[in-house]
Amino acid sequence: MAHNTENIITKHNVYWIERDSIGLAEYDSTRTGKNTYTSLTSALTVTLFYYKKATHFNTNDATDMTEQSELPLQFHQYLVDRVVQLGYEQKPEMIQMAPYFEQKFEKGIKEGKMFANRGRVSGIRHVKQSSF
Amino acid sequence: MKLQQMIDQVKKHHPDLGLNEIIHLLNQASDEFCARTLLLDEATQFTTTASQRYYGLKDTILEIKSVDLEDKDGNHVTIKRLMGRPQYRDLT
Repeated sequence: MAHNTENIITKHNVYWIERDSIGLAEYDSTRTGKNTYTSLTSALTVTLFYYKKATHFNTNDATDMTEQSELPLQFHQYLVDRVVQLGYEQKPEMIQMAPYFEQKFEKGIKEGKMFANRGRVSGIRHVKQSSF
Repeated sequence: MKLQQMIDQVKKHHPDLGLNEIIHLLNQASDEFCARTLLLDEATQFTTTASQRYYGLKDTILEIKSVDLEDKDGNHVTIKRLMGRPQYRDLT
């Protein structure tokens, strides 16, 4: 039985991450050896979608005290809690205070994960039946 | 919450901590929060150079979610991620 091979796509562009860089190449399944992957031959626009760290607060002399974290407002307090915790950990006489603030920070992590996973779309809401 | 308010709150507990030290610790807390929650995401574009295979990534990137590449018709198409790397290295 004859197969129609005309419509089979043999070339794909691929990416991979290596040494803090992104590698881009064209994969051709009909080639072998080092010609299987070839670099892109023309200038093309690449769009990267990624998770990132928030921009750091400036630590130089001209620090702008009105700066705000990029994180949503409801998570700012948890950053303070972490710093308070780390501060208590540096003081042996007050170290018993550290776990309290650590717990608060961990609660923030939990809420942050929930916020991130929800994708700003609310989840299922259960409606309870009631008779009047 | 503004940076000044955050510093004031920390100072209530730790008046001996310096300004730069507090800011440094806030940045450290922020990095940890972002890395563990993956709360912030962003998209950015750049143009490739012919025959160049590698492009450096910013330090602020935690994890690449997906990559789109412009095709010959100008459409932006999602490309696949390769597991590992090509067997033959090309360091250009």
